[in-house]
Amino acid sequence: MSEPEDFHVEVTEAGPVVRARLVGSLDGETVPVLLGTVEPLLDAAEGLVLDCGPLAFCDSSGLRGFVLLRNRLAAPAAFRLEDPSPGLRQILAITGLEALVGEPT
Amino acid sequence: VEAAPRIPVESHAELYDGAPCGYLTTLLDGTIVRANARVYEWTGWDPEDLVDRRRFLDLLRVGSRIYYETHYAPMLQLQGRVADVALELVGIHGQAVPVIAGSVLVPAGDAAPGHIRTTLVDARGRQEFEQELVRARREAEESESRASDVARTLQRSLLHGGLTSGAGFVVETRYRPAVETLEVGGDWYDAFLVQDDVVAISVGDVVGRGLAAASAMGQVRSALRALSDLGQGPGPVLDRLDHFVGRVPGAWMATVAIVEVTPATGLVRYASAGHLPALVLEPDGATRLLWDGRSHPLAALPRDTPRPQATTTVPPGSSILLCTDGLIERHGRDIDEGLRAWADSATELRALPPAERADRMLADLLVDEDVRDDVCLVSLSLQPETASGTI
Repeated sequence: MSEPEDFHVEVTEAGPVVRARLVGSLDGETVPVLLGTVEPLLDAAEGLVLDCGPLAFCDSSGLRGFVLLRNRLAAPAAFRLEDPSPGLRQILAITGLEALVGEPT
Repeated sequence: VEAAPRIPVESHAELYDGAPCGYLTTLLDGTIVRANARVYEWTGWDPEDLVDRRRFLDLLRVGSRIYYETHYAPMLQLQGRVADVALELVGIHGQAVPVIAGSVLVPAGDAAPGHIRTTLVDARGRQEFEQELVRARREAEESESRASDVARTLQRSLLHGGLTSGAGFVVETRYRPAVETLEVGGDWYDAFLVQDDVVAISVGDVVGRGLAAASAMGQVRSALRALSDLGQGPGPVLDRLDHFVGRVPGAWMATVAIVEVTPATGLVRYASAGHLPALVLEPDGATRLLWDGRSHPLAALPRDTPRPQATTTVPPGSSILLCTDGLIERHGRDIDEGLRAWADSATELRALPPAERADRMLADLLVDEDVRDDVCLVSLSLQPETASGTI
């Protein structure tokens, strides 16, 4: 397991569409950092874009975090994972969660 | 509103000696120039014993002295102030008074040489509080380890009762708990008859660890068995599980793979909710991953179409394997490399009997330090065509 300091979130936009960069290793130990940082911003938000470019690792707990955040939005389709690595793309494909990389509507 | 009773302005001396904390003024070498009544009360020294005769250092216990010389004094020199340092005073009768100390350095000026002002806050209560914390934490840890025993027992009993063989097939199941943690995970496996001539194997993973995960796992596993009785195949079973999972706290986003096999014909029906694909090992060593019949984890996203399932056939003597991600996932390795390693291992071990193959597969694919996660492995092996009688 990672330590909480192995992961952090940079919120780059907190407007109607919240944008954040995910940096490091996202798993059961670090997913509370993601939820704790992003969830409070979603009350007024219409969309959420998570930049996964700097994400080095993501396991099933991380995926669960993504789906939790997606389902927190009034319009869940306005959730998007941006720039997933080939590895993350593959995990999303295996878990049948490709919909998380869709364009917001 | 009644006026508060007036309190006359205190003299500096009253404020100084009557303060609830200790004050010390020392020279730069630590020699005590002045101390307030609180310091004398705590230590039992008289003013004539301390002033000009002893240094602050002399009031400290050995451990604190070392800390004072190596950290406190140098920091004070460098930064001009030190705050929030835990030290222990020692009195004339050897009594210890834990304090929180802070100092400021007053540089030399026209009126006075450089000196140091130090405040000492009584920390005896805090120390007791910390001991309380330590005790409470130890008790919590003990109770947690009891809970972890309970969870492990529960998990073992929940995983019990799977089918091990039947007409034309044998099932091997392996479960290896994570090395790093004492908490049980939410991985499960099962094997059971769907109809007289159809056998099902399943594996799954409930997110999270501990008692809650073990109990959620048990409920999903039992529900899966019950729902499979309908004989409509694994896709509809997953649809029904979606509804069920909505009522089981902790089971949301669980993944599950189901493979139903008719041993007599080699017909395979399978589906996966967010889980790793099943692996087919044919008797000649050829392998393929069953990628179809795939959809998202249980209850993760709303659905307006039924869950898919897929069909294939396998030749006699084939094995179908399922595992949880602990066998495949590694930091710094893409998942397809993990899947390839799994398939390669199956090919290499194709000639071994199923039980031995399962043992070797775990041993080959897992190096101990890699086992960060629980690992389940299930294999269903069909009787070879040429064999007579049981395997």
